[in-house]
Amino acid sequence: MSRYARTGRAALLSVVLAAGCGERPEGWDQPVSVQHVAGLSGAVAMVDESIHRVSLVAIGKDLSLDTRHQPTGVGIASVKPSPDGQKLYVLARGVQPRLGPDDDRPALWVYDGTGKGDLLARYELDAPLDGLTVDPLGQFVVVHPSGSSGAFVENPNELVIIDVTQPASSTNPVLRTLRSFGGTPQRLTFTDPLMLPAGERRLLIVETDQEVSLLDLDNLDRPEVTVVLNSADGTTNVKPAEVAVDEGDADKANDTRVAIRTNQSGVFLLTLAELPPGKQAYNDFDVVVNIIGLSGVPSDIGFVRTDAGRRLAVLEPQHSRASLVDPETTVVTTVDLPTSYGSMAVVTDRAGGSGDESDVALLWGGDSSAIGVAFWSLGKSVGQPYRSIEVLTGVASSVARVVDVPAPNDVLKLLIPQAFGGGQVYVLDMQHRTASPLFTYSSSVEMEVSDDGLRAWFYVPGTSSLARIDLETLHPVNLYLDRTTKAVFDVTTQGGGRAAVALHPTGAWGATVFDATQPDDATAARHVGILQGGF
Amino acid sequence: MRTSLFALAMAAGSFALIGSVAIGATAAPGRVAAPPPAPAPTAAPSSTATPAPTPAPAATAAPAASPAPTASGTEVAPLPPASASATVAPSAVPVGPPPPAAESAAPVAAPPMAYNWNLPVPAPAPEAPAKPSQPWTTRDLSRNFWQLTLGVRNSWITHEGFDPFATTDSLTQVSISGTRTLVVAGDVSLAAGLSLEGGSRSATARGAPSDIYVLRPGAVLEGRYHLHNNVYASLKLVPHAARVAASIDEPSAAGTLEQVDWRFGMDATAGVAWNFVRTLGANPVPGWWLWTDFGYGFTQSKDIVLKANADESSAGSRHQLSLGTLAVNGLLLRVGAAMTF
Repeated sequence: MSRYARTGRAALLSVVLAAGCGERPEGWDQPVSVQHVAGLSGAVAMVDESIHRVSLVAIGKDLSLDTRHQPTGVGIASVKPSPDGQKLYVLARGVQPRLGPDDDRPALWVYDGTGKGDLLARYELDAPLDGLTVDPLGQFVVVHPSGSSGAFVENPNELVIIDVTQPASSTNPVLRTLRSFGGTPQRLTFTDPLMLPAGERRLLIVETDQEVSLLDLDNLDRPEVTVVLNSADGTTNVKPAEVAVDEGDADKANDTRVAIRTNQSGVFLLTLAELPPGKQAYNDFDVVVNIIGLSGVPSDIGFVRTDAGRRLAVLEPQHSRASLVDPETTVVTTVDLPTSYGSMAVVTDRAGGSGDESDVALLWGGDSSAIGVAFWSLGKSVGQPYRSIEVLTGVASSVARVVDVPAPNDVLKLLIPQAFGGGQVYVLDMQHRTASPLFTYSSSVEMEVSDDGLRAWFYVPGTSSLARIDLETLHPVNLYLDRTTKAVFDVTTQGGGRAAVALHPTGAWGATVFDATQPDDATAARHVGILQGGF
Repeated sequence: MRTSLFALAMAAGSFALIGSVAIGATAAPGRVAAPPPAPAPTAAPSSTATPAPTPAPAATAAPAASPAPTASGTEVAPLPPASASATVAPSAVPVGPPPPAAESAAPVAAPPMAYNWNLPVPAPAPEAPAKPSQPWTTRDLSRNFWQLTLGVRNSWITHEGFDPFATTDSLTQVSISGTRTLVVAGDVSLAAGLSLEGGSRSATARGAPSDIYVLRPGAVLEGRYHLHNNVYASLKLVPHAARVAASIDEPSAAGTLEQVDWRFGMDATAGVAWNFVRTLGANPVPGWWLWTDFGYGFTQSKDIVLKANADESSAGSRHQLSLGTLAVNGLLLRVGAAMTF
């Protein structure tokens, strides 16, 4: 080959290489596909499944966007923020089937939610599970089947317990298969630290469709304790519907109780007691089961303090009454209610209760059609039950949901009606026992309460309607959006202020950002194409 | 008056022509006793009357004309060969202007070329500079010329800011330029001029139609080394201003998002040009060249901030999208044709 020919070939090769450099990333050719969004403490997250990317959008002082894009897994099954909004959990099924070593494995991806937008951790999983339950205290995440993974063979009783405060290792995650008597997990509940006979423990309570299992989170090598709710012949078809946990007296180690509401009349009451002498068990506590018979199917349960001591409160809306069960003796005291309240919440500290001696509970309709709300003073429920209910006048609709407001306005609750159509939202002041109505014309209002407890944002998904309610003054500010909204989040800005981010789901997504403390159409920042680029 | 003058001039001309003929007819008064010979049947009167000497090549090339009928049957001395040939071979006389003397001395072996109406046969020594051959210029048109080019420029833009607007790194532009040789020193010459290049790409950016148009008006400074009369190599600098117009129809915005900005740039290329027509044997004016050059184009990097083209009074007018920075830098290749004169 002549020198000129070699030179020519080298030049041609250079041109080809130069032309091949910097190929356009494939992401430019992929349309945006966002199914999951989440509000975090300092950012808004959007999971773009078409390019396997999580975009974490923080808000600058000037309401600008500071977007960090991070990789994520293939096949998003679930996305949840941590309760404090400091982290985002993304569960990905991975490539199924995996045909090569580079194919993505099932994994839990953990991202920072404070505004830094970092990928904090990635925990690989052995199987493509799709259920995700997050510990309210932020230590654990449990991955479990939800029955929709589509796997050819699936173990529905398999739990993957991940300590997200620790890095991935050979002992983290922990794979557990619950002993099953035919049921599959339906709900998981993390308890607070409980004083058990052998010391402080945290439990994971797993409700299957016919059993309840107690798993010691501090000793995951120990088998769980399973309580079978069905009769031995399987004819009663008892399904757990809710659990309530009470630690009991702080100075007692054997009075921790777990109440189980089911779809049948009656309540199961479990006492976590000291192991009897000589009893061999894998766990260092014993479970004593009592069944409390009731005439109706309860709709809600909760442990309360009354003038007669600790009780399990049970609502029976079909009889328009509540029952107070003494967990020691299982003696039941019945309290007639003015209507068929189906839900309750203990609001003692916010409703002017004595705090040290007895509780105050808020009652509302829930799934029943009961109109209005009432305060239930449990300090005189056992001795003078007929004087314990105070119905709040002015709430003229059935309340489906009660939304908590964080401090400093935690004396407030937002009462969400069954249907918004021409209806009202009430701002309940539990301290003064007043309910202030807020009218809205829309029938599908969503609500976002700020973490600092000062504001609530009302919006209607799919429309451009948005309003802010100042929870101190209840002054509404209706705001203008030039595009339809998917969700609204109230987040901390990088400068320490607060901003409301209304996400617009068209194209590569847009956002309108308001100064949350002083929202103004004129000063709002309107962003477009958030998910464009960044490859 | 003008008509009268023209008529007078025509009359004078006719008189002079008639006088010539008369003079010719009585050229040998003392030697002719016989009546004047009969006119030669093939001789054109005007040719006969032409006193000018005929070209030598024609005279030598027309021996068949010697038995001119004008000499038959008379005692008149034969006419000089030149006169005789002039009268019988008018078709061999060039109709163009008389060639320079030097050309008359050139060898006659080469046949006349079909399109070579006024140029000499190519010099036998190829390295010798061509002689000025145009009656209207004395410039050496192989080195010293005006040049107009039309071509295609392809740039390989690897900057990530180009990705939203094109599915590949290629940006093809139409390229035109005009230059004039300013300095010729032996085989080296220097030219300067102006250029204009423009082209666009379009794509979709995550489903949003997008496009970019780049226009580069620039100045050309070109140094040439003439390897041959028909070939030169060049180094070219083109400082230019690049007008970059980008747009994207992002559905989350109220209207098309656009940005137009100007930025400075510089192209540096090396190339070669070939006068293929002359190499093939012809040498027309203007001259025709094929050329190509290859190098790198640098352009200033700027932020891409696309703003909505919406009514100023609407909220959409505040929509803007930042896509980072863009520099339309990269290797470039130009090919095209040029005309020189």
